[in-house]
Amino acid sequence: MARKPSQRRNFQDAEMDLNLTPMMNLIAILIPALLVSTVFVEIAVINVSAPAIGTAPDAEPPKDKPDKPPLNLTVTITDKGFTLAGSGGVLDAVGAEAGDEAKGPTIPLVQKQLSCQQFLGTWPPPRSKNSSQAKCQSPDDSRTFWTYDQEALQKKFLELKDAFPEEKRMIIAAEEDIEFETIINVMDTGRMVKAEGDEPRELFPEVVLSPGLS
Amino acid sequence: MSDVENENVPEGINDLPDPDSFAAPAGSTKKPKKKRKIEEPTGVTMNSLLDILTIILVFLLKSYSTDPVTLKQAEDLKPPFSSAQLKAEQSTTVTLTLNNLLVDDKPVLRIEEGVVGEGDTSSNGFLVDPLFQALQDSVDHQKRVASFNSSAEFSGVITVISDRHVPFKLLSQVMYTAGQAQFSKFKFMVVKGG
Repeated sequence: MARKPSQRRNFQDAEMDLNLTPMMNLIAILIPALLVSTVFVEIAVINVSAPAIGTAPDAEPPKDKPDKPPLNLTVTITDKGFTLAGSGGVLDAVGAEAGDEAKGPTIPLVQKQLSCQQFLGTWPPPRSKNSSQAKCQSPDDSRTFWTYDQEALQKKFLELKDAFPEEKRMIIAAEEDIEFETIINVMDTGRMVKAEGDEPRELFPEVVLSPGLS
Repeated sequence: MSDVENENVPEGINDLPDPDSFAAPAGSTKKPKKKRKIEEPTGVTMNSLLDILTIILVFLLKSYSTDPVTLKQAEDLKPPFSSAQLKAEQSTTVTLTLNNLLVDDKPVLRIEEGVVGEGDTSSNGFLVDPLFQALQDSVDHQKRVASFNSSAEFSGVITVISDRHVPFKLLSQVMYTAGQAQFSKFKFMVVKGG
């Protein structure tokens, strides 16, 4: 029996899919573009000033109190350790007896168990001291190397900060072949100290990198 | 079908009952019922794929860096780790690796194992001439911009992106050269963490 035209059902229930192709095209382009421009390392910067050579354009006028001479803390990095000096003279080696003949660095190198994680294919600095050993090969490797004593340096910095709470400046000098990494580590040690449970304490955040020590 | 072919067909083969007639009771004139087709979904379902892609997209957008100074990935450029927290700002950059010196990502000088050749230096070996030239150009450009646009003043800031193995000698040469080119504020780039 024929139905009335109005009752004919010659259409299907619309079960239409969204046309996702343009969307997919968009995503296929966006993902590589974002992947390329994404950097997965977070970067930061450390402010460093150079010592005034000749006429520095914005050399700050010294506003030190006349009764207290500036500390002029200078950290000299050599492949034997750190030598700390102030305007009063060079600090003696930690633990050295007064009147010791050989004046070594204030904080000599120490031998310490180090993980090879950060030093694959090379040695931890100072390399001249460690190069007699085999190079770091596997990240799980852990061996005894000569290394800079950052803990002792930090302790020394704290003592100095206690004695000179106003001082914020630290001058860093280094031997020619000291690597950038070591210098940054000293800046890190000198910038801030954070004991557990304590407020972080600022030490000497203003770094001056002095060129040349030869 | 032609008649010639029919001659080869064995007789009686057409006498077999029509296969269609099996489906319908004999004598029925009704057409055999059309088999109801199960609707097969056409095409591949992409919903789950789209979900994944959307999540990746959001993740990438979130980690999209807007830092003005970006670190180019290179085998010989691994900045040291540091606990510094200061943000980088837009400035001239000088990139030091053990093999190359770059200013604003343009190669300026090839060096050997972090040592600048004798012929490229002056002033007691402290001034690296090609680098000085490149930095001078950059300063001139910035000053030209500053003369038209007062909000883009020349600030004397230079960002030093250096590999962790670069020796202090090269670093001090670069700092001296930058100082001669009127850069007075240095920013050393480091990787957060460590």
